[in-house]
Amino acid sequence: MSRSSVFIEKHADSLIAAALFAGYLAALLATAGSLGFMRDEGFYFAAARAYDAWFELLEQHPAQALTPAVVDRYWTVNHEHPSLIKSLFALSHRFLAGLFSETSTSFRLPGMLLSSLAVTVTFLWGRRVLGRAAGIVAALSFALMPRVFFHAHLACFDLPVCSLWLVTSYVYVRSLTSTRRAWVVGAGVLFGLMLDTKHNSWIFPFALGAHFVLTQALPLWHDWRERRSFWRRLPLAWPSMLLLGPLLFYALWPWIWRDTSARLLEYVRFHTGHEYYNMEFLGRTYFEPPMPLGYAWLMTAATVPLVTLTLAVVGAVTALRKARKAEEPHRSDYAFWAVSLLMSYAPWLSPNTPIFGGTKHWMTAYPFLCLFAGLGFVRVCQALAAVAPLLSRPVVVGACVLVGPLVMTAHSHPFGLSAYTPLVGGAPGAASLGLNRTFWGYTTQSLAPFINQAAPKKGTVYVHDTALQSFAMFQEDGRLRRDLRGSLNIAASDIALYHHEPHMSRVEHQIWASYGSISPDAIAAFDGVPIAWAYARNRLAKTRGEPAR
Amino acid sequence: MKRNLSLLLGLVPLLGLAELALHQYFATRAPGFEAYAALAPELTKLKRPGMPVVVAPAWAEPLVRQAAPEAFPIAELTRPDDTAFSRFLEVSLLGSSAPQLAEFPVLETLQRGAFTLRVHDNPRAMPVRFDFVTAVGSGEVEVFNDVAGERTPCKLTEHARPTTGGLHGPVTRPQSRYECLGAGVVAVTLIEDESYRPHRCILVDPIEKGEVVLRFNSVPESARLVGFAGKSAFRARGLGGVSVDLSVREAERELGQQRVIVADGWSRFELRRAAPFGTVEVAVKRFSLPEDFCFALEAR
Repeated sequence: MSRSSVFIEKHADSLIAAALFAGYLAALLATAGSLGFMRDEGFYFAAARAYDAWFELLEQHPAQALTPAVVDRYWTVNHEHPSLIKSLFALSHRFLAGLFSETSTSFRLPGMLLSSLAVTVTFLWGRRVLGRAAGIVAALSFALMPRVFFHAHLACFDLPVCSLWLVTSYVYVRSLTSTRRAWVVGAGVLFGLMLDTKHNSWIFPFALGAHFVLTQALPLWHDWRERRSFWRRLPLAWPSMLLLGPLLFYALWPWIWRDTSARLLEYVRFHTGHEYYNMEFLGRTYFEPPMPLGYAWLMTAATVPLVTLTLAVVGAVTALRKARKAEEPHRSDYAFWAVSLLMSYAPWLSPNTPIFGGTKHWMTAYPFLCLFAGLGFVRVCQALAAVAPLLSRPVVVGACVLVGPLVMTAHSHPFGLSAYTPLVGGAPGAASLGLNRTFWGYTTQSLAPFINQAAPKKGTVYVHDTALQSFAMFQEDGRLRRDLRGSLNIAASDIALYHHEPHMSRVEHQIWASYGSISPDAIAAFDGVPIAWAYARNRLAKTRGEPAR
Repeated sequence: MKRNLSLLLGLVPLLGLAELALHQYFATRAPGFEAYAALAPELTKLKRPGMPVVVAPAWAEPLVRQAAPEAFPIAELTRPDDTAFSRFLEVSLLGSSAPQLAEFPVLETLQRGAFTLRVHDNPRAMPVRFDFVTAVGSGEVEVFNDVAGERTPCKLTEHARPTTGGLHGPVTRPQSRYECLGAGVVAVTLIEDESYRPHRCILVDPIEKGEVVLRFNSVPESARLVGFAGKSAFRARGLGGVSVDLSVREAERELGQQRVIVADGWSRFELRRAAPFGTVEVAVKRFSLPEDFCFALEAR
């Protein structure tokens, strides 16, 4: 055996983990240029620039930067969300902007890195519990969910919090059995980072509690009956998380350095009393509670590849059966996967939970769903070995269960929010069922060739659902002409964009009335379904046909 | 039992491949732009004036509008309802059919590429003899502010500065409109109903006291006036009992008063006509909401 073979054999898992990380990151970087900018990205770009300016001030005039008034001035921007990820956007832009051809990529990089980390950690956890092949299947099943791939590109918080939930969970579960204190400290640090990422983190302690009850309730009961001190069963990571978590959260968010309790209360109130934005579901647009209780489940079924869901169900049933045996070594892991999955969906058991985010708000469940899919994969391989041994090779089964998600994910780009699985008939079936076709105004990207060609010099573009900051980034990156002016005024525009959602139709009607035309001049369609379209006031500029994707 | 379970689980990889095949099928199933372009001449040939085009599924309508704009005259596309039309031309794809045409028998069916074209008959159509919205659009109306019987004419302006409110704001106030004292406007615009369908209608801005009167001198004889009124459904959400009064007079007799509850959406009303026929006046008053009240009226 050559030395390289020995090295590969010895470090195979690390090499696979590194390959998954690098491969996913490369795929995200390679496709970022063709994905438009979401509304929220526009706001986070602006916030990151403000924080960046503060970092620069901190570097040059630290005393001045740290005065309360100055801190407030810079960190008031977008203070309804914690600062960690936006700070990473800012630092990435500050130090790495030169590496990329587009400014936006430097802002998006931290999200891509954290998404790639989630893929890697899914593999590592799967590898540890299920074996190498199942770990790979779990990681790739996660990476190859069309909606995950879409969100993984963005300068937003949804994949970052998903990633941090997973990594914190992994470190926490390791801390329960390992004698190394690094896992305990790591759990506390990571929990702090998660708290400073997004408010999904508020649910995490409930997952810890449920896991503790599931795995320790019986021994605790025995301790109680036999008058043994039960506190020795409490995880060491808990005090670490209780101490380090809030400390880091506070330290990394300058906005709460002053008026801490009032500002924290404001943060909590913002999210517990969040405005209800609209969302279409089964042909009805929901503006306010009661929200449909089937939303999260049906949308998961409609957007996650069916083969992944099926494997996950097989895996969950298998885990349940295995966990009944006391000698099962991975009971704690299975329990954690289950509680993380269920806790991530728990808010949607209430009809008062907003549904405007589509699937992104429960994506923290997906790595765990995929870990169960990895277990399901193992079970399917075992079953096949009994009935068709030749077909039971992991590479064959793995290829069969991953090729569909791979093709669907590749095909979904750059229309990730319009992509639906065959279970609902793909994008046309979903449109006929009345499932949301798009939101966030990012599909302006697909209309950019038309806009650049049809808009008059120094013309005005009605941006509709695209945030003006996002429109500015389209221009900064050279995707849209820089002489154009983004506007929220249809009447004053030369080109008007329309991103379809049913309740938005009044915007299109205003365009008809203002432009004197009911005929779109360009349509961005996905699988034959119109997603966004544009009107040109100057009919001579009319160009029919599909803009470049 | 165990073997059966193994066989069942052994099908999961096949499920993966089947899902891939289905994905390919659904991704390429709907017609592309070129299919719509090829349909356009056929559609235009078949389409007759007064025969609205209905696309099924509705999501494909923008593609048909783009390919064949002449098949969608604005008055048909934004019709108040379907009861005035004796024929409809349905463009169907992917095996869909328009639910609103389900009751109307099919007279003719043609297959054109990926599309099925069906001519539907509405046997109980009540044709429009006079469209008040079109009359306002073409200037065949006199508009006044009426305060305690004193009438002040509103001036027709062809080049006013148009305004649009976007998603959350008021509907379009077009270039061509009647401008009244106190910046009120009467004009033809579009609002959407609770199903987000567009309707062409007469926008009337309120005045503090009194009423806005629209006077039509050339309304032909007919059995009834059919009216529709409401406010942009998106903006009317949560407005509760906010109401607007609309009264219609003919030859100085009151034909009827209609109280429009904004929260009821785009609502229909009917007024009987009888001789002597003459000048019709529509008076809009008692606004408890200042913006975006719109109505359509037809003599049928």
